[in-house]
Amino acid sequence: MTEQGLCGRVASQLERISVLGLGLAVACLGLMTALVVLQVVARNFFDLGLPWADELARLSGIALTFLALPYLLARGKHIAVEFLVGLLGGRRRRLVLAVADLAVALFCALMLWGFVKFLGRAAAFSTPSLGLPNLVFYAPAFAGTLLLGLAALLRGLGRLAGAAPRALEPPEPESRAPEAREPGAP
Amino acid sequence: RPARASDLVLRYGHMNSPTSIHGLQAQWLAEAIAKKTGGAIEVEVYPSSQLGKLQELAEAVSTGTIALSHNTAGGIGALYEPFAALDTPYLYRDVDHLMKVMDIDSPVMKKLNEGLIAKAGVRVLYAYYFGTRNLTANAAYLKPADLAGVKIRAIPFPIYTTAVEGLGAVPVPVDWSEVPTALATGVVSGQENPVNVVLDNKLYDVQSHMMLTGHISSGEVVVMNEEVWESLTDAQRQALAEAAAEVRKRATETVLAKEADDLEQLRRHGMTIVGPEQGLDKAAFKASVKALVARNFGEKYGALYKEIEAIR
Amino acid sequence: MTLLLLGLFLGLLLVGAPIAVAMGLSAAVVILTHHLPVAVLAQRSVNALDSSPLLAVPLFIFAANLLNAAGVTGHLFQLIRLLVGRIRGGVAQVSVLVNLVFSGISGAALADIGALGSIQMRMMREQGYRDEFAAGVTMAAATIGPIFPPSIPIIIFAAAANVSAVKLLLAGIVPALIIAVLLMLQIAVTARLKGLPRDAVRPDLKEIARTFLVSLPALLAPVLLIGGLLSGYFGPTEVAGVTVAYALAIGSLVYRQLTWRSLLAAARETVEATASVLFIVAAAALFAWVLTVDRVPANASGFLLGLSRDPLVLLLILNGLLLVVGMVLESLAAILIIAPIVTPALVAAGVDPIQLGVVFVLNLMIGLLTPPVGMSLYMVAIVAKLPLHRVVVGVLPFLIPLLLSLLVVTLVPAVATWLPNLVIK
Ligand code: NA
Ligand code: NA
Repeated sequence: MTEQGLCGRVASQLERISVLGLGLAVACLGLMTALVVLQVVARNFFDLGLPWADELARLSGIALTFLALPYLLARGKHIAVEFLVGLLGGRRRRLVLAVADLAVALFCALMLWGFVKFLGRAAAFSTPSLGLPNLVFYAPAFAGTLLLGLAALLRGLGRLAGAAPRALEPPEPESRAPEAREPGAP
Repeated sequence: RPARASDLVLRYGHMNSPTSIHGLQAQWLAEAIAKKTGGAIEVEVYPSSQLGKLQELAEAVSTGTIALSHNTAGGIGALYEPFAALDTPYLYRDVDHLMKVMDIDSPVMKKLNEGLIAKAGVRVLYAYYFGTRNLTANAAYLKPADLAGVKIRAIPFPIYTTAVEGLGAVPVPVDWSEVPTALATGVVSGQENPVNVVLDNKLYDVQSHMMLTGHISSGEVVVMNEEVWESLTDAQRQALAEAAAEVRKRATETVLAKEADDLEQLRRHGMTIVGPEQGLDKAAFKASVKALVARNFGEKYGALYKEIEAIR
Repeated sequence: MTLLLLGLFLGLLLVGAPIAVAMGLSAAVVILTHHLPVAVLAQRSVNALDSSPLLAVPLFIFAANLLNAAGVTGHLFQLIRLLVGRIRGGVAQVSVLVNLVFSGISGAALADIGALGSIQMRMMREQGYRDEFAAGVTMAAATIGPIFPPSIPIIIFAAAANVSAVKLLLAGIVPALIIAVLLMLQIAVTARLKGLPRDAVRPDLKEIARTFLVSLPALLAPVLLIGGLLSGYFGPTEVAGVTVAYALAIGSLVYRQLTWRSLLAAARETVEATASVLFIVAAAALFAWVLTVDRVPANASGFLLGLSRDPLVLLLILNGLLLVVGMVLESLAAILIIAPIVTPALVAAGVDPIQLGVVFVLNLMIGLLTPPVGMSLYMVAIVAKLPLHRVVVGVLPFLIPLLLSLLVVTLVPAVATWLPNLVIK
């Protein structure tokens, strides 16, 4: 599989979209921070409770999480236990990595099926404060899962075939700053 | 685990503790259904939000993730909006009126149930008396003007925030897990709930006064997934209806009996109960809330309110 | 059902699938093969994140990242080294104290190792400490971070067990101090026995005063946090939001190190860390749903209460279980899988959920230091550029004070519950 092939092109498009997803997630973080601080100010200085701000902040939290997932995959930043994979080398290692990728893809596929089943009935129900339809409330989670699944599928198949599209490979471990690895994980 | 003898196993999820009245009535329903179907239908109860919270539980019944649950009318309103009208503040003349309105065969409930089935695939089995919500705080608030600028925790559904705002206070959303702490530290000065909730959650530790505002009398609605209902035989439906009628009566009587006793217990735990004799101007609270309800929901629920009023 | 679930989960962990996927996919496969409703996958995972208290997770991570970007850590090291560097084994003691102070800002052990680890290692190596000892100090001291508020695992336990995050956060303060004291005692003894060096230069008072003033805004962050929780002006999530605002203010106005570029970098790191943590929370909800539907919590309650109804005995059993689980399971996954299973039984037996939360989290933070699966071990091995087995050897002696702290928190409920009960109500 070469960079010029269809897979390579799709992969670099996915990579571009995942970076966009990360950007949106950062925006969600900013929005959430602003909404939480706004609630403090409104309640303490203006005697106002803001149920809509609470709801929108929660929605931002959900969107932030799911929209960042594809980016985490491409950068190898999902929390995983890799010590066994670290013991392997060459073909075996690539095979195990491919299995892990395909597991991600399969999980996403089942999740998407779940979304379709759930929204098939619940799409029209709306959130209590803002009255947002569920379709909107669940959209970021759906989009994030879809992109994560596609990226994982492409990388897994690539690894099975010999080499994953470069756009989706995490940087080599040496170049990875330790500080940048799961800084918030307990 | 022994092999199941029953043909059908139904999951019943709810958000109350297994020992609260609402947890117990779920268990009673499970027992009554088992008895009346000769064990053919087994209901497994999952209390304490194990399978999800408020709106999620209502949606779960709709999608068939669980077969049964109970919720407030406001919560069911997330599935079919007109339902929330049943939780309107100062709506019923008394508990008897409430029970008549929320009888599944009442004209109002019949219509709402049909709408709920059509829109969400959810059927009301029965509704029992949940309790009457009162205001608690750390001072005596006798009339709406006293509550100006006072922050009161409210469930973030329009019908409930309207009640709190109508009482004269500032409705503030607080996650239920943080309510006792938020009351203790003063993020909010008060909250509103039926007496049994105040007692079960030891809110008397952090609240000194209970105002008998009685601003919302409500029924708790027990709902079932419509596809599950459709799959039952006529005999099974009959058995379920009988079990429902039985538990509805028992749960309502238990709540009513406990109400007076719970209030006495709150007093014994040191809470000051503020009623009309202590100067509570319930008429003023009622007028203020009703004015706001008319403004916020008059257009949407006006016709429904008239039908409810007409039920004797 | 449960056997299939656990088998798939462990298999997926072994091939290195993300922990969230290992949990979520095993749950999804069980749901599919047992004809359970597929809709639950979407509904439960999203709803598990739809929680205001949980928003404290990204906000606290953001605040710590901003303070870090503002260059606060350097000032803290300087100040504390000036104060205690001259005692025997001084720089090791500095390590513990800096972690203690920094724990008031940061909510995770790995974040502490990321922010402080390389400076700690360099300081100790410069004075000729053995690599193993330095790595051990670095790891053990980072355990304080997630016990002292703020704390990501404590917020997540609170959300999973439906208890007040404020109370549970405050409950960690005394245990964190106990850990710090016991670690410092251990270092003091080692320093005496091994003749560890001390700093040679005597700092003058003016320098201390100057460094103190520079560090003051950073030292005030935890004061703002704990004071804010108690004041009634903020809820737990709001206090995190206000800390972010504070970090932005002092980072840009006082330290003047915060640029648009570093602000965006801090936000990006926050999003990465948050998403990887909350993805686990979402997937774990699916895993827990399957366990619940298979009646595992109910049966476990019956089993545990059949063993004993004595809260202390049950807590000791829990400790044994969690220490073993902590060896092989990542900490968050362990909290989210086991808390819903055992909490009902222990609370029914009379264990205070607040004490339970601290015991739970402390156990699993010790699990970060135990092989084969110990995230702190891996991280320090990278930071210190040491092979894993030497890092493991280094941390072994420090398990003594940590296990001792765990024993104290287990035996004396008041260690956890006294402070929150004193200040709230
Ligand atoms: Na901390
Ligand atoms: Na471990």
